[in-house]
Amino acid sequence: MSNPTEIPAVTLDRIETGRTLALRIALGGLVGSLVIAGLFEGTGQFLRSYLASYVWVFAFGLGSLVLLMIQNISGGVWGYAIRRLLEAAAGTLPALAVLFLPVLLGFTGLYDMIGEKQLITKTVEEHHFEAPRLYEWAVPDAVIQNDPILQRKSGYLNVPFWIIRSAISFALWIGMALWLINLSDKQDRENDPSRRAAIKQRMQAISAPGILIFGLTIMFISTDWVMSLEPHWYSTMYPVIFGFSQLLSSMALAIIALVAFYDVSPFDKSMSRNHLRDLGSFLLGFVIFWTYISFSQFLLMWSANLKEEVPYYIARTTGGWEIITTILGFGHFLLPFLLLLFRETKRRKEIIWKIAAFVLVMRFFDIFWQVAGAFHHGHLSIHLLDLSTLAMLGGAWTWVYLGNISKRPLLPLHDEREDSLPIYGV
Amino acid sequence: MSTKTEKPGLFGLLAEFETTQAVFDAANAVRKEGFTKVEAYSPFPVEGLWEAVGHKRTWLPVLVFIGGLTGATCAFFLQTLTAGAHPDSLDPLLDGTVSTLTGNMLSFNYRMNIAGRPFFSWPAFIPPIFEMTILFSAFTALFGMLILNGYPLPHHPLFNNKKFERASSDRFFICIEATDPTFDREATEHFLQGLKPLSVTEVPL
Repeated sequence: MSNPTEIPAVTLDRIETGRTLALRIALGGLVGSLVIAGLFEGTGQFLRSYLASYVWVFAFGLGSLVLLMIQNISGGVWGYAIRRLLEAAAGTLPALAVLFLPVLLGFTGLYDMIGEKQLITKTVEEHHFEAPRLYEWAVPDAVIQNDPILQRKSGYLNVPFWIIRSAISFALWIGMALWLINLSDKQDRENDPSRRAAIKQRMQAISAPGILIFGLTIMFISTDWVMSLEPHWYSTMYPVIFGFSQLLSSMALAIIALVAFYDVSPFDKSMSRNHLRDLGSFLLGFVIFWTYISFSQFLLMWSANLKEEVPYYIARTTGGWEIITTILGFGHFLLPFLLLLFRETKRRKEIIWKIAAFVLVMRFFDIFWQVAGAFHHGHLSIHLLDLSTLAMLGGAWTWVYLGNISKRPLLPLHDEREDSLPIYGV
Repeated sequence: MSTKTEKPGLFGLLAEFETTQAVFDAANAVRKEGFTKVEAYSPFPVEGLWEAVGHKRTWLPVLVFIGGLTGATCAFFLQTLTAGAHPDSLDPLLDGTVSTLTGNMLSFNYRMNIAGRPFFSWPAFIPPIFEMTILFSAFTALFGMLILNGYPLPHHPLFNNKKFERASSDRFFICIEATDPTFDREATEHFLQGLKPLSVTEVPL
């Protein structure tokens, strides 16, 4: 057998092909976005589309970090199989922090050319209509005075505190991701079993509180980034939906990545269909849980029928949005659910990756439904910029991700779960 | 194997192993040798052992799926026929069948006006549908598993073998049953000894 620390040329070739394609898509998306935004639309629509695409891409980074921490604690051969892929995705968090910066433009007063005196008589909606920005609550203080609810919320929903929360969260996530990846590198190089065990313990000691930190930060982040797009609406279920969806996206991506390298070294010798089945079972469970929490939120609001809550769903079941809502019901739940019930669909690589890819498409529909639904109440609006920003961010992220994959062996070198592979390989 | 020297009253041969790896390797060897009436026993579930012994898949998942579907359908119609649409609104479509079938027994008397919501409030029907799906699939899984395993079974010949008691604490066993078409008292024992077990013993009927 060749040197295990080296990545075989076939694998590198495949990664390079993927990176070239991703880079082309990203550049195409970038040029397209700049042209459309610059010539026709301005920054308003660009930022709205950018946010939806960003939330979709961001899920891969943070979700993978959480899956990585979960498998550090839980063990299980599934974690060994995709550990490097998760690490590569978690390693994109610094890049994701850079890609986040344009969202901050959503606060700039590019449109605020109206005098203070005029503002006092305006409602938040009127002002937002005249001078749209990403976050309605970020209008000038003079306008906030006219909205008692937003005025009460302004202690939390204000620009400096918003930025601080995002900055702290990014710092924590990036810190944990880089720390875990660094320890993993050390484990690869370490030849002394007892010191390897110590490294493993360190990883677990980071992961356990790490999952807790994820739960806490995601509460703030989901509220800040997406829920506050409709600052009068609130749902205590939303942070769960937002946070959990990231695990779903990351699991789907890990399956696609594993299948992409399934037939080259080192996966060709150590992977069996049962690994795919395990990951497919995760996907099934995650899809069911997404349905459970998404439907619960809807059912509670539909039953209560309160005017603070129910406009969210009225806005998303009228004027064309009901098409997207129906697509989500069938495409994000029923179809993957029925397909993944079968053992053989999970065990066959040529089928499972297609289901995973379909789930990722549905993830974008769901995020689009949440984010764009907030801007276009009661009339479905799909913009070219939605697609071009998606291409731009998706391509750029994939380029970084594949770059991370190419840096290290695709399977960890000294993972004790390696030994259980023959047992699993029937 | 031409001559069968199988003694009357022999259930099978029991090989005892100390580790999961040992029983797993043995199970693979037994399967490759072509034995089909084989069962492995362990104090806890060993991942992959089931496949290694060569067990074929059962009908249980299909039964559970049908059970779940039955539960969902029952719950849906239970709610729709009692609290949902009025038969008069269905009958034009179904040519009077609903009234004929239900008569006065299910006369949709449980329709309640709750804050002006439609009688056919499908979102509110979903939680009972979900619960009934789970209930029916769980019962099908439990009872289907018991029946497919041949339960109730008051006694099993394996308990005639003293060594087998440790199958519930710290030993792993593989039993090749005498009903296996390729079973041969001496040859099979010889084969099992080749797998380096702790012991090979007879299981009397």
